[in-house]
Amino acid sequence: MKVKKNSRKAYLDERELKRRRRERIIMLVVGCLAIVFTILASQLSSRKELPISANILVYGLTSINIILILLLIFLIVRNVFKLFSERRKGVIGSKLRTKLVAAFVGLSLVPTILLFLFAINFLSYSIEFWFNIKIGDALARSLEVAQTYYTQTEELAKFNARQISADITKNRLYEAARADYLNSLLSQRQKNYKVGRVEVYFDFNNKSLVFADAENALLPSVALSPKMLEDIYSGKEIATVSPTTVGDAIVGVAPVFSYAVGTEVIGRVSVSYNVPQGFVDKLRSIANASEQYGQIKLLKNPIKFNYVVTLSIVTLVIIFLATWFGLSLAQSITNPIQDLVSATNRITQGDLDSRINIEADDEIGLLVKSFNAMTDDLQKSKTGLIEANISLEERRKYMAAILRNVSAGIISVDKIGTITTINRAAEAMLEIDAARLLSRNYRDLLPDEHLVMVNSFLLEMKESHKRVLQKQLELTLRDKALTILLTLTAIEDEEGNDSGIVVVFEDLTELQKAERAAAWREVARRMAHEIKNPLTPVQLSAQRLQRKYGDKLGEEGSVFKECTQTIIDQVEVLKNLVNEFSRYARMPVTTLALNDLNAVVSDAVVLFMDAHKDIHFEYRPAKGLPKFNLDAEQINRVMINLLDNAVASINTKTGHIGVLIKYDPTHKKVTVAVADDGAGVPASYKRKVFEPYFSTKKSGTGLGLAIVSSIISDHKGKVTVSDNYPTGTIVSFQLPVSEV
Amino acid sequence: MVGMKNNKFRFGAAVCICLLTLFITATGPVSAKTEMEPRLVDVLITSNTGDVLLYARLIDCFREEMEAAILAGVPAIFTLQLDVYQERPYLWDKHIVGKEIRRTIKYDNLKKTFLVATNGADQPGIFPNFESAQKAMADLSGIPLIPISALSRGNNYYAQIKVKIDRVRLPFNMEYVLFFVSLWDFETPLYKVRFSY
Repeated sequence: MKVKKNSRKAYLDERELKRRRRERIIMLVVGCLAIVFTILASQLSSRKELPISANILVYGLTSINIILILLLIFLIVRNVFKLFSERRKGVIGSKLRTKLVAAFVGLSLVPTILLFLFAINFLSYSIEFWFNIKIGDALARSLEVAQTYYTQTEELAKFNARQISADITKNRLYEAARADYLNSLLSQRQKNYKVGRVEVYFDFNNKSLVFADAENALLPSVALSPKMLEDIYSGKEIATVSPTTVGDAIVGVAPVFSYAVGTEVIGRVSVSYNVPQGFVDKLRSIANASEQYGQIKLLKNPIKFNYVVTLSIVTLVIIFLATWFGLSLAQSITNPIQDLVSATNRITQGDLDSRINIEADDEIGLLVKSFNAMTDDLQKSKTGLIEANISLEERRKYMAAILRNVSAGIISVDKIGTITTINRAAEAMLEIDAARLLSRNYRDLLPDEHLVMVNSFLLEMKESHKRVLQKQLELTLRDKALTILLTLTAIEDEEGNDSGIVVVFEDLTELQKAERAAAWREVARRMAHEIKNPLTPVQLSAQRLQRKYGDKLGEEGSVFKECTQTIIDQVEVLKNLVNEFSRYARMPVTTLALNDLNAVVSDAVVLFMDAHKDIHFEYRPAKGLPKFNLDAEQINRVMINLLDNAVASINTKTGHIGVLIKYDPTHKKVTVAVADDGAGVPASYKRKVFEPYFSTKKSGTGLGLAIVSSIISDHKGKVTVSDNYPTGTIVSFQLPVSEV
Repeated sequence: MVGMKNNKFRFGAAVCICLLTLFITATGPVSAKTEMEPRLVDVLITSNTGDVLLYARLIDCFREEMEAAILAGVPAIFTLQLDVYQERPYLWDKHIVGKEIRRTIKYDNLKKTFLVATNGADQPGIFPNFESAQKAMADLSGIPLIPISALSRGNNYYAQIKVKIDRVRLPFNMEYVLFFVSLWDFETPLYKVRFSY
């Protein structure tokens, strides 16, 4: 697998690079040490036989070999330990790496070991065989023959010297008078014994008699070492071999004893046998061959050891190289796999930016490319999803904002009746908490009467096959009466399947109120106009009749007077009524000016306090309420109407009426509440109390609260009626606090 | 922290291996450390009428494997290194003379004699047995150091003496192959003997 160098650097982590850098430094240091050692170890002696450079070279190579082999061993063993350590820790890729390395080592180990053992055995056998060949024996025997030749010749020389010495001693040939006999003896013996040279030396005359053959005549006498002389003069025979110009001289020397004193040595006899140079050379060659063979035999074991060491080193190198190769190959396979695994883990944790930077042209490279492509696609999909989600979310928020801000209340339920949406308007309108009702079934939440109503609507939709149903309802919620326009719309999905129902609530209460108020105002205007006109002539006519004929009828005139008076009174009542109508129909224009609401309300309360001393009035103005735009006269009228109703509702003579003003500076609204503990207003009347001509009082025009509603409406406020507890009614109106 | 310890361990192991290697290789072919340490004894400086003479004896210089090699015909060469210096109080000592005397012992397996030659002399000494030959090799008697005429009166001198065995010469230059098989290769300590003139 070809992996580019820069890619290799890319996926090798920092630690690995540092480790390799450190190993290179170690190798460099070791190499330097080897060189230093070589210089130290080399013997710079004046060796003439071989140049110094050869010594240094040999030492250098030896040292470097050893150091490098040890370094290789160290690195291999270290990597193997690391491999096993990683496997124990469960590092990704370590098992595969172990298998690969084990396979490589196994494949290389078995044949290498076999070859090593075979080579060692073969070598040992061959060397033993060579040294077992009878050459050694032959050489030894030959040497023995040569040595025996010398030995025997030495013995012969000594024997002959002994014989001559004995003859000299026995016949006293050492005496001067017998010199001739001595010469004759020596000459004879030299010829008979075929001795190369016979030499006789006597101490007393300090000269030698030499008898030699032609070859040895001119050769000098063999020099005897002091040790030899010492031995001779102590009575021992000696033999020596000394080289000459024509070969080797084997000399046997015997002492000459005195005839008178048998132990006294008075001279010596030397008998020399000459070994020709040619023969000596032959013998020497035998000796040399035997010597060399002996030296090589001496080195047999060291040579074997040397070969074993060399083969062992080679075997180790092969095994370690195989291990190294296995490690490298395993790493090159498992490193990309490790990268893949770690990249996969990163992607699992959400990091879709991770990629693997390996360029290879094999299956691993293909796998890496596929992985990177898959990650690209995942990232694009995720980006697309995120964008789609953002878009959906924005749309949802927009729809939610629309739902939240639309004035109509919207409630949606799915096909099984689970409430899925309640907007803010619906919450406010129906006074419900959406959080508690969402995801619950409407059947579990609606009161029975409402549930019956809803079921009837659904049935109607189903029977009429209508998708939209609109109904106007009068709803009473706690103390509030509402007129609701209910629109039910069945939702269908794209396949036409039922997906639920959307219910839209439109609050028509205020609209109806306004419409009724306007209608009533028009009626009031017309009625005032049409009725008022004939009332005056009727009243005047009755008054005229009373004046004309009242006194003339005497006792029967009382009936007349009573009837005419009744006519006049009732016409007055009708006139008042018409005037009220007229006043309602023509409400004065609201003139806003900065006024203190507290003061306006206080004025009205004080009036009623004075007028109704049996009733307990409690007035609580608002603190910090600034002056704001209001029509003081109209607000005063409002307060009078409200207080009047409150007093009227208290049946008993004593009661309690509270007037409370609350200011909300945050929303800039002020609320005035008039609370009584009277009879209260039934729930069904609550929506009607602000309509004209609706009154629960026995004598009332029914326009009071209508006027109040109109004035408050002109002030852009709102008025509500609620129950007081335990009894009574609270009428509240809210005004915006604004300045000019 | 654990990674740093591992790194230190590895580095230490590497250094140990290097030192071990150095030790092994240094103790291999450089010098053969043996149980027997050859040394010079009875070192004496004297003179005759013409020369300053050295007398000394070399002991424990023959080991078993050396004897076996000699008996197999391998020659052994002792090299006696002699240097004479003049002591000078305020300068470095002056080197007067330096010489080497090489003494070779070789066994003649034909004649069963031992030849001891000094400086390659034509007439080596012949000894019938190994003991006498060893004695002759170890006997450093009457070796002329320096002619008296080379000395100056009133000066102090000293001689530095060392004997070393040269590397054995094996057949076929096998000594270069058997780098772990060092038969000998030793040297005595450096001896310093003072004398005055």
